[in-house]
Amino acid sequence: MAAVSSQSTASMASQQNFIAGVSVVALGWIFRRKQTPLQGDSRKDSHQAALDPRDRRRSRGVKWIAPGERVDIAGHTISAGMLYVGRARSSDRQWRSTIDPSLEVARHNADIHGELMSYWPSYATLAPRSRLAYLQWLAGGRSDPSVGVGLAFLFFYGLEKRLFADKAHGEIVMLIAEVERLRELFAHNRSFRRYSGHFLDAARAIQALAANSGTVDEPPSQSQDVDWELPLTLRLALGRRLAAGEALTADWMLTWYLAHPETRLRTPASRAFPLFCDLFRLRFKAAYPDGLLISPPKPKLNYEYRAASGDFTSTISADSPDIINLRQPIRVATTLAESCADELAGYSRLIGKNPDVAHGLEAISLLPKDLREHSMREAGADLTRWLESTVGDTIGVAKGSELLTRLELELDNAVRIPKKLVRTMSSILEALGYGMEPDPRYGGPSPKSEEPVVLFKTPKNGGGASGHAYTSAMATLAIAAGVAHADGVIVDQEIGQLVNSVQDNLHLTASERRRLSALATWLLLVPPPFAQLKKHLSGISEDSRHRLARFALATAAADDRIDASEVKLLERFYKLLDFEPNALYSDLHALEGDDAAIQDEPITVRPATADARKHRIPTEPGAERAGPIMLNHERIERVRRETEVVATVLSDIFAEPADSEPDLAPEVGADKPAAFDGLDRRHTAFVDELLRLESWPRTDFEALCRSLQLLPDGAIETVNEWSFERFDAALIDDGDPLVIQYDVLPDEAREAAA
Amino acid sequence: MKQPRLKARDKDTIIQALNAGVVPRLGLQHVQVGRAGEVQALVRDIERVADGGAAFRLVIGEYGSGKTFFLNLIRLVALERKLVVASADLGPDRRLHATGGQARSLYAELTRNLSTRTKPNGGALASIVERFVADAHKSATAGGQSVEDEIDQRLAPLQDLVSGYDFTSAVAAYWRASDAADDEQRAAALRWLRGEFGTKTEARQALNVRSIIDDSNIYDYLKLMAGFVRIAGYGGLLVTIDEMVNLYKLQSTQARSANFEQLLRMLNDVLQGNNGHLGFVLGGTPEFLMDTRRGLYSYEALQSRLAENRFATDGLVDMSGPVLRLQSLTQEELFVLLGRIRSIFALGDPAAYLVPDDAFAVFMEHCSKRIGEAYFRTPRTTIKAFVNLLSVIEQNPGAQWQDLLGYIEIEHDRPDDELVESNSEDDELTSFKL
Repeated sequence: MAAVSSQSTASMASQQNFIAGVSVVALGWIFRRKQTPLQGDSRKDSHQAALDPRDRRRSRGVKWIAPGERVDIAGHTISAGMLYVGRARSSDRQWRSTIDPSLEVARHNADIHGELMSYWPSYATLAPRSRLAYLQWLAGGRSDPSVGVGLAFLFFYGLEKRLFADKAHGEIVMLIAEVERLRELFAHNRSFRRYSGHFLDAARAIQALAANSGTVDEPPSQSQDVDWELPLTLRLALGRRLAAGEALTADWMLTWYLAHPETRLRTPASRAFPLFCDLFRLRFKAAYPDGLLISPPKPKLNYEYRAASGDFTSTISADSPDIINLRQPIRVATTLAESCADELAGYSRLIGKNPDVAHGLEAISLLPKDLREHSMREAGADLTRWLESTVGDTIGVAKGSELLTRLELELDNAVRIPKKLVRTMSSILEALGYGMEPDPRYGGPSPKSEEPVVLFKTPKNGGGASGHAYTSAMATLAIAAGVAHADGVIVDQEIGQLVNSVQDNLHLTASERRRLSALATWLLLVPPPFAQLKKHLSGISEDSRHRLARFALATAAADDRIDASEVKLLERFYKLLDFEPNALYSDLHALEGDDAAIQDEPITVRPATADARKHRIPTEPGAERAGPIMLNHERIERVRRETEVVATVLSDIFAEPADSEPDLAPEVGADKPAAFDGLDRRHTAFVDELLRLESWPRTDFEALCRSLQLLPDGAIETVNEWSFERFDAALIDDGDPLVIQYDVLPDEAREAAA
Repeated sequence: MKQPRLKARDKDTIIQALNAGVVPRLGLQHVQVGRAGEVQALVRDIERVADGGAAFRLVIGEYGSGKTFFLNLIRLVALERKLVVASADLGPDRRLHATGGQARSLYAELTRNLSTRTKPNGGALASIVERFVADAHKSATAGGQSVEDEIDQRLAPLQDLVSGYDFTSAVAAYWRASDAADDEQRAAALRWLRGEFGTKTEARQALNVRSIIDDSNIYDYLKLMAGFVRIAGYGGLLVTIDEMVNLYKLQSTQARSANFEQLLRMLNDVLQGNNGHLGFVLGGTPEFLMDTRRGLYSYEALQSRLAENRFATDGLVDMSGPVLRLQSLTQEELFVLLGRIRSIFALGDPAAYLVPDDAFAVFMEHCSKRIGEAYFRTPRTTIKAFVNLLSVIEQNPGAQWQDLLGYIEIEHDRPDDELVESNSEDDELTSFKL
């Protein structure tokens, strides 16, 4: 202790350079208050305290008792010190914390729970029984946390006076340690936590001002437990960074954002707070790789410490810019935080319904991709091993129900796995680098639990499939399968051929091709619902059937030639569509003619040869050279148009009985409002303080409002409006004294307050 | 209307008021009996005001028919719908128009009695102003501009109204005073808003505002107040004025006309849609409305606008017109009312009823024997007697209600104003004839 003290004393010399001014202002209204001494039953117990005669001679004034210095008050020996003791001259200011040894102290019935104490206790006006409790608590080393918090406050007022009013900056380390100890002791009391927090914040700022003028590298850690004011230490640190021209990193911005009084964290952010912080950092780094550079504002830091005792205010100013009124960085951070909260919404909804699954596969799969990788590797280790053995490098098959079990998902009795659950399955697999077919996310039906599901490994860049070409190829496969099943015999050859043509389709990405192969495999394994294709097809309008037919033709003709096997498939398809068989041939014919109509110019008789040097023959219009491949744009367009039609028709066919539950479950019970939801931070702190007492003398109440920078009547109106909205009754009964209606609050809010 | 639970302290308030023969300020919904149509009509009025419309109602009823009770009920409904309510009684020194400060005095009384849901007993002006200022302060700091600019910006819509500039200045003065913790200035700003400054010089010295609220412009200030409470986040302003009969009693024709003219202005503004978020509910007796020498019907322009739907007679009622007539309670309504009083005593718990249902009829019979037919036209005395009876039983659990009936005092109720005196003069005249 001694070493620490001397060190801080050494740094005293430089303090004045950085603390431009620390002034103390007495608040007159405190003293204008009518002091009504509390009644105590102390008449017969009274005891005139006597100081050591030497003390009485030496100091008529008030004296600070250092730790270790013994003092006897009314028969109680206090050796831990840190008190102001003495009898103030009548001309002196009165301080709440000062122990006047001449005041009467009860002998029995100590008011240990502070029932006789007011919100702003003062030793001078304490009831003798409360004084007894206070002295006993002090004599016991002030380490009993079960006493009324009023006692702790009374002692705390003295520490506050010592540091901020009497400017004992040399004792700052010791004072901070003591307040930290008390804070730990009374951590259960929010009011004490708040005021001691202000003390520590301001004290550390003074330390920082004294220590150096440079910047700090690390911001304070982020927490949700924030106050209605931006902490002074943070203001100072941010100001210094800005002044030094240093960019703000993700951590700084996050700390600033979280501590900002206007910040309201959305449910996903507060529910999954650590993940939210991680995500915020990731997104911030992506948006501002070099950090956010902000030009320092002109006003210099000027902070007013308002004593918890209400006895004084003390100004702390520094020669660095004050960021308190900067809006732009907070707007940037807010936008970023909003989008992070959006990204976490699905995850938040899930764990809101059931917090136990927070580390399950399903929950993890709902996280943003870059956030889940690590946890997915951990949680999905078993699954990955199983997938590796089942799928290998290409394609594997598993029963739907088995896959569900592996994915730690449950199915309640349904034959068909609900679409929503299939989506979950698919997204968990995707997170591990696998895909499944059928997959409703890519236009497929949802499988039945007793049917096989085809699994495949997705390429590195993901298993997505979204292009027109994919839809078109999928439709081709579906139709081919339908055609194949039409006569009840699956001709592997035919399917294989179509799969190959899909594989050769250059418009498909690698991942789409892989997915289509899987789909083709699945179509072979599971005939329905394509066996019902005929039924479905006969149900659709003739116009749509014509379109389908034309699409099939266009697909068949996409490679510029129609061979016999394709014609064979088409014949069956036409039968399926309930068309005259002859219609196919005339349509095929028309298709050729159609092509001729489009290419309304001489056909090539003999291709130009390289040695035709004299006359250059221009390249064919309508055909462009794109690498080695020649693309016919009209044809592509036509296929594309038809595809859209087919997609709509197919979606009719694939349409299943709608899942009973909606896709996006509303946030059931997710947004259970916190006790004081709907109040801003300042009013939350206000209600917090109010709940400490049931009855408030008007003057105390007004002093509290002032300390929180609220207007008294406006604050009552705001709080009562809020409590009418929330609980259908007013919380504050106006008058003198004001009465707090505890029974208005629901139980959890009362508990939160206690 | 949903039935809120009755709290023990509300019970005491209601019973004390009923016992004293006055209308309780709280918990009226527990006492209201019948009059569903009338209540609905006014609830619609209140909703219209909250939606940005205007309303004007004359509640006309005989002495003892429950006008005051009804007005108070409406007041509570309005508060529940987040309206601000200003209420006052007219009197010899409080009128709508005057030259000797009586109108200003009415305005002062109205603003003193300004109430919100959280302050149902009046005195809410400071709360409303502070709530507005605190809000402006909050968004000013968030938006990085000065609080005064924010106040100006928010109150800009008021500037278009008559005297809007001075009103805005007074609100801004309140903010400056709060910021500087200057209680004197703050009180001065509130005094100005309450119309308590008598002279312009005084106002200029105290607040540097050039004009004051005086006899000639109180209606304009009521409009401003309506706009202000709207901006401060409430639904609108409902002004309820009782004892309108005081205008009828004015001796000077000129003074009467001037007051009726103010009523006409209000009515016209409502009918023409000039006002927003402002409603008037005025209570008066039939002679105030219909006396063709001194009542509203003596003023031609009002008479034509207030003329009643002549098809709505004999029990049929039309509640869309500006005049709403309250009939005295029927025997049956009185019966139900006694039941509700019993229920208040029991805090709504049927197991705790102090007397059985049979007691009501016996009690009514008893009253009618003692004071004659008047007992149900002016239910006040009957109710008072009944409350007394229940109080005695409550305090003496062993007592039988039948035994107590004989001891319950029932006074004759009579209007305590000069109207009755003139009636009794008539009586004397009659007897003279005889």
